[in-house]
Amino acid sequence: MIQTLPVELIAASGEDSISELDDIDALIRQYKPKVFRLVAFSVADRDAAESITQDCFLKAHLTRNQFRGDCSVSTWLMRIAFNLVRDHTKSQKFRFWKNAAATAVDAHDVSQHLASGASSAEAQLIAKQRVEMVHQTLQELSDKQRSVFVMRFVEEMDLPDIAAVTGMSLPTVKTHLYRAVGAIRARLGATL
Amino acid sequence: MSAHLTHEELTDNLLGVSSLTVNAHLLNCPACANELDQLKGSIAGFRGAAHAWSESALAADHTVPIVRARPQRSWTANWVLAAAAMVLLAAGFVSYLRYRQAGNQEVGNQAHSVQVAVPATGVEDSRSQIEKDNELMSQVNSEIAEAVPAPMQPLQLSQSAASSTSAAK
Repeated sequence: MIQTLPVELIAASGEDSISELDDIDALIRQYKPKVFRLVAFSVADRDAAESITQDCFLKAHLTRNQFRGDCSVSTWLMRIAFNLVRDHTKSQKFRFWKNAAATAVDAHDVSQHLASGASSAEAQLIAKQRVEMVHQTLQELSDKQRSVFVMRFVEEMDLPDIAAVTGMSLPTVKTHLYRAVGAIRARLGATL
Repeated sequence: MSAHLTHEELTDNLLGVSSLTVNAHLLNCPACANELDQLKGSIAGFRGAAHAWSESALAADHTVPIVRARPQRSWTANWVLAAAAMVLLAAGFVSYLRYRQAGNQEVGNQAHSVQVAVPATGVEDSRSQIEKDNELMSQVNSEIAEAVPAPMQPLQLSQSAASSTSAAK
């Protein structure tokens, strides 16, 4: 299934970007973690995320001639990944993955990867609990709110880039972020 | 001092959209500053954990590289395959034409033989039948035409013989 990319992402320019797309190994090395994180926290399943991430790079490789460098390669890849996630969550396959949940992204598992730093054991425990709360709240958000939150606060993308990736207007992106942050504030506030 | 920051003001600050008013409020309102710090800390912690988790998950990833997983054929191989396909197609077409031509000839022969044979046997049958019929009819006519039936013929002959002998006497 090859999707047509939006016109604003296929404008003129970018010899460097095109040659960057030709080197698929370098492309995967550089962007796979970023794409994988967006997909993993959007679909909440590690196996499905790996599969979708592969599909994303395969699609990027097959349609690399359509990329003309109007946006960064990173934005272009995130756009493909976002569309794949959207297709996946609409499909029956997503319900299967969600029901199976054998390889679900576990909040506790994620929080275990929190850097210990130099803080006390108690502070470390509180930090882990907060990470778990953020992750749990993320799963309660809508698909779009979750993806937008991950792009902004995990991948630290600019709002215009998020708008370009999702095809939403800037105010819509901000509205999704207000709601996502509001849900996290409510969860954290209830336990503080 | 004004009331606490609105949710939009606090989120804007979290998004990096700062204003002098909000910054001034944060300097004078420990509650808002504390909540913002905790929110920033929690999200930053989640970001760090998510990055570390993804690195660890991908390090254990045993999936096959996508491009290498699909064997690429060279242009030469593609041309050879295309030529082979064309030869097969042409051979099939030629054999089809031959088969069709042979089929037409056979059908023509069969049609011709039917045309000749059927009327021939029909004519023969009808002629012999007519001859038989005519023979039978002539036989019937001759029998009808006779004044004395055939079984009586010897009697008639003897009577005529007797009359001829009596006349002689």
